[in-house]
Amino acid sequence: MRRLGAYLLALALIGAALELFARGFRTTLIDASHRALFKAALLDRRLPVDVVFFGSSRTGEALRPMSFSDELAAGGARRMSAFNMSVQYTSLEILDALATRFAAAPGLRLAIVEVTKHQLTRAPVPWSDAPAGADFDARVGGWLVAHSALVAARKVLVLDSLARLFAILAVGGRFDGTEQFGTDYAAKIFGGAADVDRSAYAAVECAPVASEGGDPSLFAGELEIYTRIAGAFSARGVQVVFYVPPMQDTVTATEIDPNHRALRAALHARTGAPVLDFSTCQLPPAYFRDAIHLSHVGGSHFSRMLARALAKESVARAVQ
Amino acid sequence: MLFNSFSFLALLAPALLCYWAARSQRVRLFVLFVASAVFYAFHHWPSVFLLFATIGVNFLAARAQERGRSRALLTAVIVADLGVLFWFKYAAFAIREVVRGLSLFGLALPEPQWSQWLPLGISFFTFQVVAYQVDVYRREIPAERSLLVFAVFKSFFAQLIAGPIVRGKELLPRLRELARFEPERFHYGVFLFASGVLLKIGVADVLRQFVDEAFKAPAGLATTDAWLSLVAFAFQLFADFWGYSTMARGIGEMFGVELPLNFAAPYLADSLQSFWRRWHITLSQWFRDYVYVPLGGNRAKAARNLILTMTIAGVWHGAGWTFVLWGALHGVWLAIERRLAPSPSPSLRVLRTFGVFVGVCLLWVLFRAPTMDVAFAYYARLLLPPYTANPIVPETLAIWLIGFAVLHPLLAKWTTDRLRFFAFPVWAQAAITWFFLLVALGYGGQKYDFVYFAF
Repeated sequence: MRRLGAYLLALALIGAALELFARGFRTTLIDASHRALFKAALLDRRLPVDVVFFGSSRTGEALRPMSFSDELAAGGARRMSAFNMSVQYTSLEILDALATRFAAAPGLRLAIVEVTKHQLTRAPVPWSDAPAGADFDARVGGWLVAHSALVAARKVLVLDSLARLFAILAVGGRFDGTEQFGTDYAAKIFGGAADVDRSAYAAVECAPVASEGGDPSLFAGELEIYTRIAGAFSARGVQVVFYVPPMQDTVTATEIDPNHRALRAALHARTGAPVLDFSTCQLPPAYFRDAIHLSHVGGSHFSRMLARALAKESVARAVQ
Repeated sequence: MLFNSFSFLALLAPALLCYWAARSQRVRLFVLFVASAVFYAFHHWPSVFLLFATIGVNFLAARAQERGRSRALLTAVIVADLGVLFWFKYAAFAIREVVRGLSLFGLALPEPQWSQWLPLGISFFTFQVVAYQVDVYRREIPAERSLLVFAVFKSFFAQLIAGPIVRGKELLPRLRELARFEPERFHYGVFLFASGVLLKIGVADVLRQFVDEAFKAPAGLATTDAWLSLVAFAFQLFADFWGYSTMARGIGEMFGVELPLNFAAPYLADSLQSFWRRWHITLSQWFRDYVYVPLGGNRAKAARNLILTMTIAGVWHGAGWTFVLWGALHGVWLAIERRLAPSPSPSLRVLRTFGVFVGVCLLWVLFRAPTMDVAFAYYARLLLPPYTANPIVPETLAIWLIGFAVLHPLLAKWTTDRLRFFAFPVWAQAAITWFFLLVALGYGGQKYDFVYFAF
């Protein structure tokens, strides 16, 4: 009986210690438990930042903070710090939450926001995941989430989250948001980061086109959210720019669909913010990892291309 | 109500308290019977009446059997038990196949729409009572005199739905006597339960997501993905059922009841015969004692008996040609293996073990595929050109496959031999238990039924 008592006591003590630890590091644990919150936590550690890129995995590959900042600086502007806040498998709701959270971030002057089919995905914000339903299990689960930090932050116990937790605690301030996997973390920690050789594709250039015409009513809800995002930034004096990254197959690209173009045109009309559409750019195959994601080379070059385009646009106020 | 659910814990905790607080065995059995009925009704309440009817009929039949040994009565009650099983599990399949068969001869009948419910665990509790009737007939055990004891034997919730298939001689004597609380058993029971939770949520349900994806559209799989997903299914199925059985044993231990072991590191077997001595042990023993031996066993036409027994075992697992073929091929393999004397060389043991594992995995395709077409499509990607490799292997899949392969023998030792677990200091026992629960906590969320619930 003594042994059983000791075992149960040890279980209770370890459980209490875990709960206390979870309460002490609750925010960090929850930040590590989702890729979007992880990015937000990294940005928190890097603030103040001048430019933030918001978008899906397409932006994750397309916009490299280091190349973007270098190009702006080469054009005579002061060197600006940038951060890639893209989220894989994102949704418009995630974008909305992140944009709202960082609209008033210290130092922020320019927000570059992706407008693509992938960013238009609609889904509830995934980190407020109290068990759904009204049955007994769901109610007990909901009660535990509300009262136990360990249960609330349970997703941090998943392997990917543990890697993110390590990244936040150990080296978070050194990341620029382009790191996606454990291997990226290791490369950044041990090898630093270098830009690609620019000479091979130095002549490649592509100017964005303007979106116009069409009927945006298909995306009325999405337009509302984007407008709200633009309003949140503008209200705090942050210049917002919408953009569409290049695609490999511009014939079948959703982004050149009239309804999508109409959405972008309406967005420009409503907010006055520039909408830079690179979806019809004809770029070398080496610029792409797959049909919609740029390669490391492509991302680096495109980041510079975007910086040059911004310098020409009416966003000079933000980038000077 | 899954074992790994809050509703089950809400049933288990008061049942344990009432059980051990009671001073009379009759009250304890009543507690167990009520808890079992609630547990079963939670899934599908009308099925409880089927359970009660099966209990009543088999109790009375066994009592009559004891008064006067009657082969006719034994046959009648087994036909009744198996008839219920056939009606709920196989009738739709049989009628559909008959209709399709007739259509080959130009007789086109409309295919019946069948919306029969399948009472959970019907295959398990049917086999349990069939064994009981035969044992009473053979005078290996006396017919149970107490309806309450028999009802608990038949319905004990720890093993009602997916086994282990407990024999009368194993469980009935234990249910008749008033046992005292043994802290060590309870202690080990908690650990076994946590181990089962780890296996189910932390292993089986994680691997399941990769497997389901692969079997959705196998024709598009790269060869490497097909093999990885197949090994993932082999581990998923094992972890799922081993997890259930381990939880069942843990619950049994908490109530002071020892349930038989159902798995003993089956993927380390160096022959198919050894595999079946380690995989779903209580079912294998059931088929050996109540099908294979009555068919003639090793005495005459052993190959035929093996193939027939394993084909029936295949059918037991599900109503479909994939299961029939799966069972028959196991039977053929066992028959061939019986003819070939195994090499005594220990150096070849590793090779044999690997060969048996690959062979068992290949046959699991039939077990997992919903139709023959899917099975053949999967086999094509496993074995036929073009041989393609996908360089991207999800980190979780790779880590889980390697981790489970390396660590499961260790867990098997801890969950088989309590002395190995008790050899750890108490704080380490608690830490191991918490580690298991944390993995389950992290990976839990979407709840999946146990695979063997479908059987």
